Amino acid sequence: MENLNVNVDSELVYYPIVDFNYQTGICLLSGESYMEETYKFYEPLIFWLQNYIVEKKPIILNIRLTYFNTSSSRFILEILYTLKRYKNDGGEVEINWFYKNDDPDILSEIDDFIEEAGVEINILNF
Amino acid sequence: MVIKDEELGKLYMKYEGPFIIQIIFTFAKFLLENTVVTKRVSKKLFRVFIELAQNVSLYSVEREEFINGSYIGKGKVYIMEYDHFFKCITINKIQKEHVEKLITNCTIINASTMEALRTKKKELYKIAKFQDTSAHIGLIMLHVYSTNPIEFEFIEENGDTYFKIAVVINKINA
Repeated sequence: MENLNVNVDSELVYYPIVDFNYQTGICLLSGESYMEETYKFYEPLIFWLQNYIVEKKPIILNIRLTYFNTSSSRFILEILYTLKRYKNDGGEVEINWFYKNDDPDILSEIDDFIEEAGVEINILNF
Repeated sequence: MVIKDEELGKLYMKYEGPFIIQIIFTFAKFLLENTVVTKRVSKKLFRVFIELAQNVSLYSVEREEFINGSYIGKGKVYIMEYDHFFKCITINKIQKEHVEKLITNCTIINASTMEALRTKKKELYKIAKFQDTSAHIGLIMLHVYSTNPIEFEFIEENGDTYFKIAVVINKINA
């Protein structure tokens, strides 16, 4: 299994930066997310996670999204559901969401994700 | 058909055409980085603009084909600036049979508390796996981000139906 790196040079700002590391289990989703055809972007991420957790390795998901549109929200939630199922099956999962103090709207969104997906998310300032 | 006299403020931004992602990105970045208000307000303006613009891009029945084979919705956007608020307005052609559903959704959203809207959004996420509910969630988010009611209107012109939607973003107490 290989690392998943998407948009790491940040050329397309409406796509998030994805850095999913197979060796360390540390996965980063960062930036903004409001591309067209959202599923084409997110499905490989979900597929990668589903394959990764088969190996029962620990995973840390660090999210630094500063904006995501409603289409993206559906897929972020799907990622959280995937990790929730993994944790329920005994997987070691840590989810950290970094947000800026001056952005209460995103904090509400994170709270809704926690409630809806039933996952623990550590909310941290950056 | 477009902007009424009482809506005339300082024209901050205007665009008419296909709402391709590169256009949305350019305008959104301008709003985020050049709007002289608090960061919180410019972020709200940025988010409301993107939700409205992508609503046109996805759901306008007037579409333009691009070289990659995609069909992108066409419409208009106006951003007006007033002393105490901004108003973001989009207009796009819709199918007449969608009017009733849009009136229902917008009316319910405007009458709902923030807590009820967040609950509704979570309900929609659950069914979003099986059907496209982005337009409905998008309308909810417009109210959540702006904390103001959605202003909406349907315009009949030459046998076509247009959906006009306006969202106010306060400059203070946003």
